[in-house]
Amino acid sequence: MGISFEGSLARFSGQCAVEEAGELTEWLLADRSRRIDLSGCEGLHASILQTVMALRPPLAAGPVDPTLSRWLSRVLPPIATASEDGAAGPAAAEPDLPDAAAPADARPARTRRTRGAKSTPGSGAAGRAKSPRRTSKADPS
Amino acid sequence: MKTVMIVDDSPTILMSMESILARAGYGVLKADSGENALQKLQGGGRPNLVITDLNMQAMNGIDLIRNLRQLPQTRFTPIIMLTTESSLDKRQEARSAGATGWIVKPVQPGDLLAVVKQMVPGS
Amino acid sequence: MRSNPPLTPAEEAARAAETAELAASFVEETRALLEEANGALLSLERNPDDAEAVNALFRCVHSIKGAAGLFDLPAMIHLVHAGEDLLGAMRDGRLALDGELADQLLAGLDRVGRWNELFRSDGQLPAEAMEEARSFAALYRARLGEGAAAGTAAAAASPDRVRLPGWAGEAAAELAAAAAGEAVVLVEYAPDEGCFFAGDDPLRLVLATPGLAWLDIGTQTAWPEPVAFDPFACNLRFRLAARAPREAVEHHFRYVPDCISLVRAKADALSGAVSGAVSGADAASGDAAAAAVAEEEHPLDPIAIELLEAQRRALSLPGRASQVEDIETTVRNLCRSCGIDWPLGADCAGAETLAPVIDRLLARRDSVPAQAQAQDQAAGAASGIALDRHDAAGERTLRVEQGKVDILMNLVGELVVAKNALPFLARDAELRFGSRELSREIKDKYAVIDRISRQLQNAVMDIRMMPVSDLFKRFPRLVRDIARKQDKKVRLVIEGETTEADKNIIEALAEPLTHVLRNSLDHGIEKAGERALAGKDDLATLKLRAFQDGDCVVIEVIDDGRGIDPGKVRAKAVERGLLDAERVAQLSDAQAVQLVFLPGFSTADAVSDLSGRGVGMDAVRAVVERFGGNVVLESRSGEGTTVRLKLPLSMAVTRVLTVEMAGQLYGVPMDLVVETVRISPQSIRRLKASEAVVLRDQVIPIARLRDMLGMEAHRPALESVLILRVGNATVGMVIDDFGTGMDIILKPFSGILSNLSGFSGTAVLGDGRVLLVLNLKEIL
Repeated sequence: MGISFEGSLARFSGQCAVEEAGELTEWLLADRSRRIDLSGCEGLHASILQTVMALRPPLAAGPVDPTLSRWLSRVLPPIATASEDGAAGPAAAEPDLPDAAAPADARPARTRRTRGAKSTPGSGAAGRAKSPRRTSKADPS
Repeated sequence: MKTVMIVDDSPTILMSMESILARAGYGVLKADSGENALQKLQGGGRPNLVITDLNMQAMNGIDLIRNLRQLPQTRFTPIIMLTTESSLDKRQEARSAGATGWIVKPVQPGDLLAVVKQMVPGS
Repeated sequence: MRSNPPLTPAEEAARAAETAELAASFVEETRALLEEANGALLSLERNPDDAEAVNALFRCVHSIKGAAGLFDLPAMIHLVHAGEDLLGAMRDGRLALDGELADQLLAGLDRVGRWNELFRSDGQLPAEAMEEARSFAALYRARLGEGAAAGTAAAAASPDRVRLPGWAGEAAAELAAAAAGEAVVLVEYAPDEGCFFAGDDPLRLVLATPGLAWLDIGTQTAWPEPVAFDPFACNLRFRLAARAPREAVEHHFRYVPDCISLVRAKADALSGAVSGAVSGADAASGDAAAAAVAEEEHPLDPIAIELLEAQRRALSLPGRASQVEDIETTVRNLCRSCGIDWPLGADCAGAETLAPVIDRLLARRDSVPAQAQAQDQAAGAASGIALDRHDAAGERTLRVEQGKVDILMNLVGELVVAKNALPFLARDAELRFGSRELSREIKDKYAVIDRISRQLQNAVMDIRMMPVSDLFKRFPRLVRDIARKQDKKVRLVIEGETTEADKNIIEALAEPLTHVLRNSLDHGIEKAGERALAGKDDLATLKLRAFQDGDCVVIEVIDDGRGIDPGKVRAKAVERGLLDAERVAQLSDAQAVQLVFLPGFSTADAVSDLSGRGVGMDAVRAVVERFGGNVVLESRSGEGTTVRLKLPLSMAVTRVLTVEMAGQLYGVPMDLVVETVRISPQSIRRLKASEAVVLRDQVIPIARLRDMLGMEAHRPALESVLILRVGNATVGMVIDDFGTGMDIILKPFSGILSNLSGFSGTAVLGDGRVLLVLNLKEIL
């Protein structure tokens, strides 16, 4: 359930909760060629949707869920043609260079979003704590 | 299973809500005070929804909501406030403290389940 | 208010009763204030310099706002608050009343009045109230000049004539397709940036919208650079159309009322918007479709025109040149509220650019086809809220003198009597005139008239129903006064005030109920000290409860006092010689307490100055029984007493046979009459002191009504005898002459006549004569 990161593909399955938006954002910013697969997604929090809308990662597959596909198709990024998962395809190779610097740039954004949360480790930290889940060989961090 | 935490200092209300929610297939985490609720969450409990009474001894519902919004596992969790007060102020105060919505007591099972369904994703 | 310890049911009931009482008083107060405000407004309209009237108006509105604050009536407060601001400006001389403003204010007062009645009947305001309130507020603020800033002045046109939002025009074709010919609710939802931290999931909320038919997801501001993107700051903006009732959609978004704007659009408005978009594309101005929609549908309303003209004047004033920015803001807001795209950029334009814009906007008024404009004016005059003083949906009441309803009731009675002649006519038609067909036709017509007269009768009975609150409202003061006098702490709880019963019943109950309450206060409820000794709460509870039980109304008086001691009652009954000791000893405790209903019984050792003015529980029972009801008393020693009065909901129509005696009309209940006979005086046999007649081999005792009524004897050639069945006995009653059968509403005696035996009550006839109805069970 939720988002699992496999190589350069994030698979959405079941309900994708607000807590995952931070990690998704970070992960997408780290490499702008990374794709997402919404085929297993049954529901996603508005924060996840806006992450997808703002960062527009290439779509490996759109949602199959009838409600999501009916209402969200218009705002989702186009489906990318890359056929294989995991390996960084030619499409992913191109933006590799500029994106290498992305994680560092992403940090300020994270500190901003944890404002007002004193006793919480914050989403950024939470995202890092979850990093073992990342199985991508191409993980830049 | 989706879990709903209910916080109320009336054992009767706890009992009645538990039976309504359990029958509808939700896991129920009960707390008879705000302190008790926070204590139970220290143990790592992660409810999908919190329903709390507004008027409780010691820590009232609004204070509890403020505290819950500081806990990592309930930062974004929908919190429904149970209120007898019809006063708009209280609701606005609760809303600005981080309450997602409210149900007016006495709680009708249908209303309760409708709100829970609306608030808990995938239920 | 804490919920712990939990409220006892009595406390909850008391609280509910308090709230109900408060609400009732608020409704009353608001009615009065509205009436006063209306009057003040009208006199102000006649004489705009009437400072007194302005003050009165302001004060009324202010008071309504204050009282409304006690309840959950945000819409009412919102509307009244805006009105108050406006009136404040008038009071300070910043604004003068003109006809249009008076219309708008009156419309607002009417709306508050309607809500007040809805609050009275439903305990809440309709779902659309807030939207209407916003419309009014926008209208009022527009008059204040700051106005268009409120943004939705246009929507104020009236709930039926709302302007479609601009985006609806842009998406008109899609919307019309999604609406598929039905009305849709258009919602724009811009969640708070921090809403995720309040547990909101706007997407989830939107996707679960009932009847979601169209959805556009956009942003509130452009997305920032990716690195600056904050996933937890909500920047989404939703626009949607739902094929569902407006209330359902409003309810769905009830937790985020500040973030949504909601409009109901009729199907033709949407399709109109489509054609508007097409024609708008040709328009030289190049305005977006939305503007075309607005123009097509609603030419600039008079307020917008007036505001624009004011801005144009302001712009041309030499001193105002420095205020161009303010003027521009006003015009820009006005455009937005009218659904017209702002033709200039975001930056301040300057007077020379602004003036032509205002002119162009004003030109719209003229560019509207003459026909449409005329139509609009007509529609505006008829349906705009500005003139919406009539009150279609609200409760309409009519004050009618009781006497008129009585006349109506009596006429219904006469109609029933007249109708009853038809079966005889049918019989005559057949027997005397030999026309079976005519007879059948008359019978058919009779059936129709019979049905209608029954319905008419029910309708009139219904008019006579009134809530027991009219009876109950006198008691809080009574209880308070007596309790104070006796140094007792008593809380009166009133429940079921809205229960209705026939006016006569309500009125006749006033005295007995007062007596029962006094009994409870005098004899039932203990002083605080005594209660404390008994381990009871200092504060005694006296509950007055009414409810409907089938076709009866039940009124209970429940106290938690010391109850009735059956032993004492037994002793007292023996002492008073009401029953002998042996009989009394055989009674169960429950039976023994019923002895208080015996005439001449008083449980108090000393008759207090408050209760017992010669009226005992026996009188209570007599009144109740006269109405076909009964009284039950339950008492548990030490725990309290319940007196339950049960009465028929409405006065049954009693069918009587009228009997004329020495010019006075009497009524005999028809159900007792077996037959009417005329016999020669000789056939009445005298047996000692009594008389009898043999009729069909049956000896029937004879009673003479003249004797019973103390009239002098009367010896006609033929005696008219009513053969009556009273109980198990058959009795012949000699009368002067038979009258007609008649349906009457029996009105029991009250006051000093209430102990008049021999009669069960009176009825007023259609011609104004009073009919005395005989209580044959008593006199025979």
